[in-house]
Amino acid sequence: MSWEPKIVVIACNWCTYAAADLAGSLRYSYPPTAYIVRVPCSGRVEPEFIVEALKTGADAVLVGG
Amino acid sequence: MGEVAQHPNIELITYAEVEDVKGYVGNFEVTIKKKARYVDWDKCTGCGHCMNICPSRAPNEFNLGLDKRPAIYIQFPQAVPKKAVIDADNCLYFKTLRKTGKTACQICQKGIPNKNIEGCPAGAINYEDKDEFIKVKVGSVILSTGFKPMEKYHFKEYSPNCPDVVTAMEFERILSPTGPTEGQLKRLSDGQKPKKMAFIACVGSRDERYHSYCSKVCCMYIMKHARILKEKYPDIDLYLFFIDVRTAGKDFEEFYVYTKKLGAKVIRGGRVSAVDVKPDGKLRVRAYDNDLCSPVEVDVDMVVLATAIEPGPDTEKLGRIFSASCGREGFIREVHTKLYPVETSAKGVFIAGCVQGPKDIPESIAQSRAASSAAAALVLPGKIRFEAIAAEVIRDKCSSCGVCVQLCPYNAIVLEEYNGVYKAKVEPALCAGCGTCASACPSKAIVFHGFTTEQIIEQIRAITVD
Repeated sequence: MSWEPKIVVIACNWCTYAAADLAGSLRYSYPPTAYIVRVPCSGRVEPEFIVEALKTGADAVLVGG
Repeated sequence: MGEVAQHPNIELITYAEVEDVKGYVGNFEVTIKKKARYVDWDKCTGCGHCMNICPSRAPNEFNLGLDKRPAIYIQFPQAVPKKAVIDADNCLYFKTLRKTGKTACQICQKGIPNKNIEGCPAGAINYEDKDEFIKVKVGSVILSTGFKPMEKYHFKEYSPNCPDVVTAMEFERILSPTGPTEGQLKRLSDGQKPKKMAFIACVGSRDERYHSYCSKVCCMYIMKHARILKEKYPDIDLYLFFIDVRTAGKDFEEFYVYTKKLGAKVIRGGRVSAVDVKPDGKLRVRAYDNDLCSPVEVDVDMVVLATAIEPGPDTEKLGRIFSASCGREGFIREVHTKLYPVETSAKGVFIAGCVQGPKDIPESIAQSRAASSAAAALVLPGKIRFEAIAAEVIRDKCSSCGVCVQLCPYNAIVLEEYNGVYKAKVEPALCAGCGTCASACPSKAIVFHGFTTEQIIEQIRAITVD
């Protein structure tokens, strides 16, 4: 099987998370290796979160907000 | 309106503007500018004598500039409270005072003695009046500042400069007994009574160039006008041009059927392409009739444009003052179309009527009743529940740097004295739970309940560690 990157998605509750939710209810699919972490706002994202994700094994981090 | 003015629990403040708002839900402090009236309202009896003797003239806003009013005036005969004001921009006394520094006129106060005309019988005129600023403390606020009808001058294809092409609002005033023609149906160009008239719907509404929304009330008021005209002047020919007829609402379809029965001709189809002025003064309306599947032309004496409902001129400014956000079209936005139709993004601020979007009278009344219930229910218990997702400062860790104070988008953080030093404090009523302060705090002194740093880091680890 081909390699797929592991992506941590840090999603704002009001836009990105709502969009991901909408994508779900519209039955769109997205790769199972994208994992969503919900935050109340992209303002809540600390640099440490991104560093921690990359340090512990994520291939990429997507911050949406 | 009269009932509102008489109600013991309602204080009606007219001829005033909201200047500023401080505080938050339950504790608003509103600064209101009461504009200078130059008339003592405790003395004014609303007799209208000053209006008869004032020599200055200005366009009458209430009749949309179709006629003139004096510089001292009562806005309209049913105004509440029925008190006069002086329009300082057009008053001869103030104009001369500004230009030359000398006083002139003063007829409304002193009358014209040599012609035996008295001034204000109540002695209410006060040229020294100043703008007055008052502060009121309130728990919640309802915005209901209404709308503005779109101007006809945007639509060059409909010959807007011809006085016989009027907007529906102007036509409403022409039909009114207190309007510019005192209720006489006549053309504004030559004073003749029109024999044929055309009404054009969706002027500026449902049009990508102007407003994509439906103004909702035009179909019905066009038919109301048609019905009034047909009942009063049975021999008049009426052509009603619609894109399609929208009569959703209780008893509205019956109204439409009855209007058609009275003999008004309904033309459904595309938009009217042009209104041209012919050399003999008649107006040629060109359109397409979907039922005939062919272009149609009709010569009429008068054209009424049902122009779109637009947000009021200062709606955006009002939204900014109260931090209530506006939608794409400029109306103040509700939190949720179905579940929170009267709440705004600012807690404790509610909306009713056309400030939220186009709507008719029954809907406005229903919404304002809902808004007043919601506003009262919020403040009457004296306590308010908040979301548990909020920031809290651990004061002993706070280094008093003030970064969070600057960053908070909701101005919810202040520096407050604690054991002799200033420490940050989050006002829970204002905190919207975004967490920006917790991320930015260099001393990690802010705990964000529900989304603590440890919780999020653990979530990330759970994902990444295989």
